[in-house]
Amino acid sequence: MQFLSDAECEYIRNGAKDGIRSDGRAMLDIRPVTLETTVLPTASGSARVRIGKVTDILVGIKPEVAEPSQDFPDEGIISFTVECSSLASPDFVGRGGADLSAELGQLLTRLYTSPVTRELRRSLSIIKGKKCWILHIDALVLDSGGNLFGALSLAVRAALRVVILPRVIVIPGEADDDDEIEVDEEEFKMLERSRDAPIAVTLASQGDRGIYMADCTSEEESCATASITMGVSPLGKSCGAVSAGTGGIDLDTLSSMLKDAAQLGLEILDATDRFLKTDIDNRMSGAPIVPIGFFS
Amino acid sequence: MAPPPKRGRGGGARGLEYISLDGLRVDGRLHTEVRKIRCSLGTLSRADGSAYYEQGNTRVLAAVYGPREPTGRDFEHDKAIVKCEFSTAMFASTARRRTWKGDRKSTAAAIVVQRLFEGVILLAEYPRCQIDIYVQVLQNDGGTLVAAVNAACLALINAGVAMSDYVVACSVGYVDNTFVADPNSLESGSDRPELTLAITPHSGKICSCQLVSKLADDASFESAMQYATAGAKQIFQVLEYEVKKYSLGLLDSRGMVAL
Repeated sequence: MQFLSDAECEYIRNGAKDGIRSDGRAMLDIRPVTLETTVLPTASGSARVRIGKVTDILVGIKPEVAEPSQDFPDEGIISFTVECSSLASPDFVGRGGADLSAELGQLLTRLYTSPVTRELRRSLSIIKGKKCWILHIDALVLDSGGNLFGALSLAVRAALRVVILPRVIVIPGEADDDDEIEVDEEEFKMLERSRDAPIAVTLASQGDRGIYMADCTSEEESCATASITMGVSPLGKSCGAVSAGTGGIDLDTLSSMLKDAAQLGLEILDATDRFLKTDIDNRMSGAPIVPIGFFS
Repeated sequence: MAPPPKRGRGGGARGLEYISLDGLRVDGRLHTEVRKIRCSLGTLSRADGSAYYEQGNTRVLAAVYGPREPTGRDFEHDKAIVKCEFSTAMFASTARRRTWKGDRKSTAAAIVVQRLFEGVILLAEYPRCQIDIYVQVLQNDGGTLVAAVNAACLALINAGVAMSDYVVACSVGYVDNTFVADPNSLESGSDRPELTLAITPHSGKICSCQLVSKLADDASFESAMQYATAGAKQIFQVLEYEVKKYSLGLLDSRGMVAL
């Protein structure tokens, strides 16, 4: 987190009152997003998201066969680990980033335990109550410049869209034997229902009634009085909202914030899905992919 | 009795042929050749200096914060202190392994990097200051320490920290009775000797020399050193080219040179 002087905060808030932000955006505009998939050869699915050349997230997914939890025997497991690299800020050295990492991991877990992802989790089941896929989703924060969770959720979703799992054959057991599974390392399939995966949209209120902004920079974040984060899924459903911050949000503002967050979320989802479709099609057809960013 | 398993000229202990009959290694390199290196400076926005460094499939990012006010209690009144952190991403290797920042290997690597750069940074230029070097391994295919040193060197140059020379590292492995420069994860193993060397290329001095396992005799140590020095010089050429290209780009952007 960045510390701002009162004057700097005043500058941002006064601008917000007139609907002006220091980088020239309108209140609900988001910064340019750079999305790149399949960047890590060591992961089954991966993505890198950069927002406005400042926030930088790298996500890798590694699948593993495991036993499903007893509470949800017909579902697979999606487990999140977020790591805030010291590259992003010297504050993250040692155990410094642990709190933020835990918080972000917890938010992601909440996002992915919502009912909209039930079908996605079900598609990870192999044998009910016995075997399922566990997806270890590891996220690395390389650079942080505001809207960390938004970028994180976008990267996780993109990685899920492109993750490939080996085909699994269930061999029925004879008589009393349990069914067995065989992992076919030759054939791969993409994840069904990964389109359902949600993203998170955060809107931050800047003190006054009805004044809030999307995709905050770290300066704007640190002088926001309250913020809400909403999960938005392409099924048109919002899945869970959390609020944070010391100030409150009045009821009228809150309802219009929720409405705008859902609207913005759907727009972002639409744009990313259009990109991902061409990206996946290109990879399927074997067209050369030009890497961008520092991997290029 | 079953006949003994057939082996190539140098069938390794794992039944793998590390060097083909043509004298090429598993990834098609000659035994003196280092992996393909790509790097760029100024990759991160918030750090004072940063670099991305790729050596084959090993990829690391390094960031430098400072010279800045010391964050902890310890400082030196007449020179700067150097701190380093080394961490590996969880998806860095094929097998997912939970590594954390403070584990033994990471700390050992961090100390090596710290000591190396304490030797070349002109510490007296920055009294009562702290210089932080952070290295993040994104992908591990062997030689992460080498990559960390080279990336940290570029990041320090990017940060504009005064240094007496570059520091360039290179490692040498020993497979099938042959020395191989810059071994990848397949060629380096705990059961085989590996020498990691760091030199300052202009003065030609050796800053750090680490040997894992043991070599047969002094003669083979000498030749391992030669392989490592030659490898480091190959790497240095790439680093120097990249730094010059970056600096010229900066001058060009200010209209000070015509490219």
